[in-house]
Amino acid sequence: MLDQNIILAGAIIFGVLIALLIAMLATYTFFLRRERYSERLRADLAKPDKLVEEAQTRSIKILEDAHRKARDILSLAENIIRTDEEVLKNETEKVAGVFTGSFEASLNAIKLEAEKTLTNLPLEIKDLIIKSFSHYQKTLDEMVRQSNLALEKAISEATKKVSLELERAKAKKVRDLDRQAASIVKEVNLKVLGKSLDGVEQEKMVIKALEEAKRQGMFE
Amino acid sequence: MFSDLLNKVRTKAEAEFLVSEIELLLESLYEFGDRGFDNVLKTRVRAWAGADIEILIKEGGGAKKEFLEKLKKRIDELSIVNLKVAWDPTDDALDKFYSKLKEFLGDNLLINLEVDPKIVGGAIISYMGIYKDFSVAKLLKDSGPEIEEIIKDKLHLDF
Repeated sequence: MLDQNIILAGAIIFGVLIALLIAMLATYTFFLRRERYSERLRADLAKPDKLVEEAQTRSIKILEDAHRKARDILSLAENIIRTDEEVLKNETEKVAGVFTGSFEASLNAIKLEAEKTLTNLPLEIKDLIIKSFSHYQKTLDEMVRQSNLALEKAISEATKKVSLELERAKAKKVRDLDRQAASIVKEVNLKVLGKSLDGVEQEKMVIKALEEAKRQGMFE
Repeated sequence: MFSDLLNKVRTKAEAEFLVSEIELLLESLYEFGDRGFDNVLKTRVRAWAGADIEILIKEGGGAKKEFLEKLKKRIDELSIVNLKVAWDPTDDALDKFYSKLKEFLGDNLLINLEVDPKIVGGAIISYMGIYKDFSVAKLLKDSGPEIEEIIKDKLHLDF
């Protein structure tokens, strides 16, 4: 009887120990999973910053390219002083077009990139990215606004300069033409005068010239 | 000796032509002798020049080669008066210029004639390094506006 009780007690203790072991294993597994989830969450949280940073870098590069193109075209516009105002107007419109086009392209590129990434992210991370992105978009808008103002100012100054140069060039051309016209008229009239003198008059003038040369001691 | 012949040569161009004829005659003498000379004189030299040369050779004793070489040398020694005029003068006008110059300088001269309508009228003369511009173009250029006005009025021109 005593042996049976001892066996029963041992079985109960063994069972409790087994149950305890199972409970410990379950608890350990739970904590392990939680830790892993936390790590994954932290890793995911790190991505948005990187994503936004990359988007910022790319868009700034696009903006810089747009500025460079705009400056190149502006420089070209300055070089067309000797053409005319209409060409200048076209170049100015082209500058504005390139700048606006590049800005829109940069925003579209960022938007597409962001949408692609956001679709595969957990909800809380999406919220975080959207917040960062909207902040970034405000900054970008402000940058573009400032750039546009600077560009408009530069174009306006270049236009004034070109117009002034054009006016000066036109005035000079008119003066040159006046001089040329006077010279041509005089030359034509001299020819007319030469033809209006007949052979007898020409002959008399040559004889007078020879006599004058003699009088001045040319043949001494 | 050469005066009669040379008096018919008034310009440098005429003298150059005469020299080319003399050279032809000299060549014919070297190559074919008297017969060649006679042939060239009749066929390749202007009639008046050929006749004068023939007479002068006879008067000089018939030494053709010596005569031709002396004539050529004499032409080379003539003084040259450069004369630029506004129109192509007639033969008569050229005679008058030549006579006038002979009156001033004597027989030994040639006129180097140049025609340039741009000088309008008168003449530009250069001789022995001296240059004188008596052209109408120069006169107009140097004249004040009042003279220009007179010419304009006379010729109904608008300068």
